Amino acid sequence: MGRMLAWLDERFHVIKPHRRFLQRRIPDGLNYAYCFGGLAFTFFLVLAGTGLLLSIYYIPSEKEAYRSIVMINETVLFGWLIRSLHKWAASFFIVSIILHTIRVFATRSYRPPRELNWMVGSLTFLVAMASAFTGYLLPWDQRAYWATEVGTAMIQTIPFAGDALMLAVRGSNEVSGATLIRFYSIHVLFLPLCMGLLLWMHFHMIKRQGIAKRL
Amino acid sequence: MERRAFLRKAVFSFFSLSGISLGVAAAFLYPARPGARKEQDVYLMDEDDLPRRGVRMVTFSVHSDEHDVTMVNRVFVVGSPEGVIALSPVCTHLGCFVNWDANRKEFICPCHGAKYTMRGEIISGPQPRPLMQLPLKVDHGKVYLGVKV
Amino acid sequence: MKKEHKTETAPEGQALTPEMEPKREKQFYPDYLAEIIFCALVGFELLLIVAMAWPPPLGRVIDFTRQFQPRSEWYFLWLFEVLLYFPGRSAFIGAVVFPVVYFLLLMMIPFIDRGRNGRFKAKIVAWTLLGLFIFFTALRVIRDTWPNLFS
Ligand code: HEM
Ligand code: FES
Repeated sequence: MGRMLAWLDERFHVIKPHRRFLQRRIPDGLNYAYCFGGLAFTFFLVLAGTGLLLSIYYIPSEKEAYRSIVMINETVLFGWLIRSLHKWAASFFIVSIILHTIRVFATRSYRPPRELNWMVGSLTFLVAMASAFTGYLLPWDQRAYWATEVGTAMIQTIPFAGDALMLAVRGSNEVSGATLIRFYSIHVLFLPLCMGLLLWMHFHMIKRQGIAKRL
Repeated sequence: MERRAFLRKAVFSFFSLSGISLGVAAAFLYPARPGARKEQDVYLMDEDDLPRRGVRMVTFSVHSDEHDVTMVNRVFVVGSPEGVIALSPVCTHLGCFVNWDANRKEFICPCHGAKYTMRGEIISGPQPRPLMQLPLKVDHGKVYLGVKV
Repeated sequence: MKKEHKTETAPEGQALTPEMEPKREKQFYPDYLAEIIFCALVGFELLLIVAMAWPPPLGRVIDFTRQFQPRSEWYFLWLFEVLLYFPGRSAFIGAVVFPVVYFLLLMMIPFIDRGRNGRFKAKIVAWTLLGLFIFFTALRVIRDTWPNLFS
């Protein structure tokens, strides 16, 4: 271990408490189907990184959102690449989560004491879908507008409370600038925080419980 | 005993406070004055241009003072022996805008295929209600549309 | 739970010395970690290639006067398709009840896998859920590609 690392570890004290975890034996018979969780996490990191970059130029306002996207695409250096990465990483992320879920199911790794981790994992899936939905509105173009119009109108079909709930989601009667700001805040603050918390729980439980043995 | 009672009270207050905070947060998220929409009369066309028979898509622009934006929108003006009506293009299913298919003589929604007659009645599809009619007013040979902004 | 849960993994972190263990077993560090990092790198590389090859196009400015055919992302297509089968006032079932029940079933799989035929029941539920997703997505794609097939 480098001296720098040792110096840091003397203050942070992470290596010793984690030694047991780091040296833990891994059950036999793991194959590359076990990599989808890690892959999903990789894409989550890409999403977080590119998302932070995009938020520097993006303007969440009815009048300027579209123009700021055009600017990112055409003027900002590598803007098109960052945007493209963010968009594709979302798809890759969801594919990885689906494959990961299939793997966990196939190996029956959800049995006690891991049932709670399965539930946490399902919630990450929900949060991922919600992020994708709120993010889709942000370019504020035709596709974005109408997808959100239909998506939020679905809430309105709930008997009795539908209208009130839809208003709370849209922030106005129609999809408007108020909706845009709402979705922006949810997309870049609320949901990433939720996701971070869920992933922390997910990994913490894996650390404590280990990876399930192959059946 | 003293201590226990106190602790119990403390825990109780903690949870009540959290509950109240959540309520306040929910109220905060609910949009202020959501229903405050005023009907506004917008000039559409001259009376002479009203279609006597058939469907005409008319675009118009409204200014919303509250959001300080001008929106260009559209409406279908339908003329038939029963009279002239204005139909909102908003599909009653989930809110996509319907298009007029001149060959089939029906309004078709591009989202889930809802179909309406020329006067907005349901032909087939997932929509629960006919297309909404908007109020038309004629004043001194000019036609105005009542729009809620 | 009556009994304490058993974790099926090796007892946590007995430091493995070479004398004890003639053939070293795989450990989290460095073996497994290396594999994860390898996967992550390959995944990222793939993403980079795809992102450079197909950058997303700019959409059109919002225009209420233009005809527009809304489309959702591929992972929402199935929900979009399900809406079709619940006309009128039953739209609520397709729009809200179906997704909520779908999600609750997914989350409850560990509790469905209980008792004697647990795994069997869980298998039925899980493959049904996956099947529904694939089936409705496929239907939607077919409809979008050949719009006149069903009418
Ligand atoms: C943000 C999305 C997710 C990330 C980043 C993620 C990441 C991971 C990672 C790195 C592992 C370690 C084992 C492996 O790589 O396969 C894991 C295990 C696990 N995941 Fe996820 N996961 C996600 C979503 C989900 C979902 C949607 C579910 C289930 C519905 C789930 C359930 C589980 C369970 C039960 C384990 C323990 C498996 C075992 O011990 O073998 N995860 N996850
Ligand atoms: S929104 Fe018109 S059919 Fe669904």
